[in-house]
Amino acid sequence: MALKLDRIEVVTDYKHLQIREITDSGGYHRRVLHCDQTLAEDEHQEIQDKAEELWTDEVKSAWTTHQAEQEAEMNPG
Amino acid sequence: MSGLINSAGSRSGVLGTTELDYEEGTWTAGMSDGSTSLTMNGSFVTGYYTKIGNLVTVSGFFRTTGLNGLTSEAIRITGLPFDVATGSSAYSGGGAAYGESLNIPANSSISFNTAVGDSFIYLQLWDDAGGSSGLTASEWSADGSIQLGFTYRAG
Repeated sequence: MALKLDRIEVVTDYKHLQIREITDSGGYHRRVLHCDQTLAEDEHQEIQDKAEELWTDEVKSAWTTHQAEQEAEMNPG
Repeated sequence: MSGLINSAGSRSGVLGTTELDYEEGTWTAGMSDGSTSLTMNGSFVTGYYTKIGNLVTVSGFFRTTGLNGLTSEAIRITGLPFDVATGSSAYSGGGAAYGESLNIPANSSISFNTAVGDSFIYLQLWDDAGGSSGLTASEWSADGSIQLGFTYRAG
């Protein structure tokens, strides 16, 4: 299924990239990219540029902290 | 509510004095323990979503074909179409509607709950009087599957 990039939305303090793409049939497909992800080599260049711009070490550190806090909340003790 | 529908199925409208965005489409589910991915059955990875305002409703039927060495690790379903909102008030979830080829005790059940500020759901096994515990890969089994649907608040 070929997907055409339609929109990049930046959400949360962790600068996640919500990606909206258009499918062959004209519908929308959605996915979210997180700041600790390694992007695929064939990822859209616009997405790679946005990630490079926004995913600073400070943002990644805050995200790591958030994940650890959530894991602790879900698995106390 | 009134609005315009464009060619990709999105519209917006006004309900009272609040402008609402409407969007529908598909998302692709994955499963993992947070680092190692299970192998998905390609025929059972696509779900639907509908977003109205900040509420997202998702559905789907998801199946794996392999655990990739995972056993006692708690597993999750990844790939939600929008991040869940942050803050404890945003936790959401529900019960699995259907399950197949699972390796769970009789008279137990599976539920799921969101991670906040993230785009996955934890899977929970209700097999203890005290509450739920994270569903492990071996409890899921290599060819496990579930159907689910629920609504959450987008970030």
